[in-house]
Amino acid sequence: MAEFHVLGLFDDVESATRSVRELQHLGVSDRAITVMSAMPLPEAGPGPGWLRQRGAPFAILGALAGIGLGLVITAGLYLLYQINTGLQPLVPIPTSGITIFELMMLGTMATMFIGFLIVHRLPAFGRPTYDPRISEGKIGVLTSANDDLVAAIENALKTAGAADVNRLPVREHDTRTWNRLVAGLIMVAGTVGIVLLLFWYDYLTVPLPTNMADQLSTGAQQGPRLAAPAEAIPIQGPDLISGQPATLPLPATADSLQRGQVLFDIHCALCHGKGGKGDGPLSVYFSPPPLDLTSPAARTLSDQRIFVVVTQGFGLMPQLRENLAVDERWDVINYVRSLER
Amino acid sequence: MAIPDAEALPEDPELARQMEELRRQHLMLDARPLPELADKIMTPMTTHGRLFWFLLFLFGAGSLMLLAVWIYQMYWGLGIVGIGRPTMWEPYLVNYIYFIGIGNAGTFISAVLRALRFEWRAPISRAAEVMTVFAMATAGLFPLIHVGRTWKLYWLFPYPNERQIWPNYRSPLTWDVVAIVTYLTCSILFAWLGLLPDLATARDRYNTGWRHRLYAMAALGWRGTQHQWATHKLTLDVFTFAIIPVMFLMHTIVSWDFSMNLQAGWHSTVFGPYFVIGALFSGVAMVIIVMLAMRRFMGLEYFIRAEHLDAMGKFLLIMSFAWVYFIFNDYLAPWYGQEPVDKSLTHLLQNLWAAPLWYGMLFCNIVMPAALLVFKRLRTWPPTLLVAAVSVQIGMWIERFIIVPVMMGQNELPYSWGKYTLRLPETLITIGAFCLVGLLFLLFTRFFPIIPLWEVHEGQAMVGLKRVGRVILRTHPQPE
Repeated sequence: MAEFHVLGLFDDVESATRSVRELQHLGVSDRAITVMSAMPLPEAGPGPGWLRQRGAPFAILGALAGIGLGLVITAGLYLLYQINTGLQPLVPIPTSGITIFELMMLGTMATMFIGFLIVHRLPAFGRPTYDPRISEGKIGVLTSANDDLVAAIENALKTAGAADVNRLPVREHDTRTWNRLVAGLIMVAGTVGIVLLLFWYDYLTVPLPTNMADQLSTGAQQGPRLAAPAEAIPIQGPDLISGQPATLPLPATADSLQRGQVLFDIHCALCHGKGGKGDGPLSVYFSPPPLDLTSPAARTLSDQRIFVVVTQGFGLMPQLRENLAVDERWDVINYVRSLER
Repeated sequence: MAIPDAEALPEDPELARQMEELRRQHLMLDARPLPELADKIMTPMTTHGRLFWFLLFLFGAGSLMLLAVWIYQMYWGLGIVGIGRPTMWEPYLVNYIYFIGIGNAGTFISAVLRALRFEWRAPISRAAEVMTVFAMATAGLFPLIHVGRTWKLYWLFPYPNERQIWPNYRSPLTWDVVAIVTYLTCSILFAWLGLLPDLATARDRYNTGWRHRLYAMAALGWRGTQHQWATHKLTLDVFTFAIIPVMFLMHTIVSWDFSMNLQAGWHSTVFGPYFVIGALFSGVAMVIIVMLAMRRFMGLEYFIRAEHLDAMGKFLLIMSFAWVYFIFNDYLAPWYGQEPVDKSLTHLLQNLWAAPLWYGMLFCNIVMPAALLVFKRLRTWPPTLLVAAVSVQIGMWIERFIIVPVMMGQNELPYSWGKYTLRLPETLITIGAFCLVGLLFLLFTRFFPIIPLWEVHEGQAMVGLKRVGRVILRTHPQPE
């Protein structure tokens, strides 16, 4: 039993509506009747109950997805990469709210659009059961029926005043254009990706000056820089002002040196070496290598400077404020000074 | 389909005269059959006059200039533009605000007026939506130009790296990124959704050739079934109401980039609504310019009539009043407070080198619209409307210029006050950006119907006339 589409084209809404009613009389189910037009005609269709509007679930799903994404890129990132917020909350609610709201709206609208496509199984390429005259103002009434009903349906459409009635075979869904489109998109994306990877791994290089100092014009960055006023406080805090010790140093007694040696061997020697020559077992892994503490460069450092470096770390050197108490740091400094001699 | 046009004129000559007058005035009453409407809309897509090629060349050359100057700037460094302490933000940021502002009005006209069922917006809504998309895309370009070394953009993302740069992801600038992505994506989808039925019409009109393939692909297989129309309406309704807060938030977030700073002139709570109104003000003016250009150069006089010029002119005038209200608010509180830094800023704007800018802005944004738009006769005459709209564009660009480099140069530390002067590269890039928006819009009008055919058709089919005694009145259509 073959199945057919019957498409009747009408000039006006009244006769199209009449034909729908007659088709319903014939026993054609509402779902088998499709009214097509170039403008919305809610009154011409087979009743509002037939329209399945599934908007709300899509919108809510999209909104939830958007909120989730928003939470990830706000709270998630804040917690993952914690920075010093100066006693402010790590996850600030008002500012996170802005991002989350935006993404919620994005999720809602994008999902509504995708939902619209899914409900209608779009995109549908090829030539669906359709007549181009519909976009010239004709109203199409499309019915799918088995061949025992086809003649009766055609008759009903004609009696209702159809300008034209066509019997169309049910066609397979044309997937060729769709496949081509998807394949084309994948190919384009792949090509772009490969080209970008060539740049990424330096097979192709653009000789752009990446360092600002290499550029001819640096404008506001060009010197001479003004010296800070004498009373200004450096950003590292008052412990670097000459003549003002960070904390009170310990005298370099034999006890202090002995404690310093023990602590140095534990905390410093791994990189700086037992003798402070910068040749500890781990030193080969660093570039630049650890400082040679007996070198002239190290000798010129003030005790306070060494104290700050041990406390805060410097370059690749980690801070040791949790490993060494304040007195212990001075013991280590006394010991380092004794190495220099 | 019921076409009111098919009804003959009444026999009574007085009634017939009234009816003809109504049809002359109102697009929705002057109904034409669908094929004729489609002809009127789609013929300009394929007819390229001499002017088209001239504009294409002009805008194309301008866009290439933008690209060339940008590459030049990338190579030689950001030092070639006039930035320097303390004015580290220059016209790139001015253009960024300006084009986002223009992008706001498109959605306002399309979505807000749609939600309120102002039927007159139908023929200009697509032009406004499309302008939104292109203006937003151009605005999104400016942060990329502004960062200087654009290929190091990934340094802005918070990922653990060897440079110990972990950018603060709480910054207002990240709100900007999220807002632009959201607004641009949603605007594109919104415009595309409205375009679907017209793409189907274009697909059926061009039976063969690349145009047929393009439209068949872009129309996604739209057939105009009642189920499709119903869900289309639902989806458009969701977009309409969802995109309005996004639109308001977009320019508010731009204003927060400024007002979150402790900078005189910026740190103001009124900045959010002030920016939104400013955005609508300049955007409506830009829609008017586009509308007049379409009407004049694409022969769309049938669709864009005196009623549209009148309505948009009024709209612009109202926006001008609103803008005056906000700028007075923004001016009054610092003036009353007499903080030293605010005083110095007011002095700079009113008496020193920035005075021409400030008074020019007030003239362009207040005096010109008020003088040209109050009377209906002037408002509906295209040249005056154009002059008013262009004047608002100039005024609003100056307004943003005052906010960005002028105010930035006047901070709390008098020893570092600075005066920004415009240099050639940023001037060329600014001109190029206008050309880019023009080019994109021009190309769009060649490929896609710029008047929403189905909306005009639906409006015309819905509208009705009612005879009350000796008078014919139009009934207000309320499509549910």
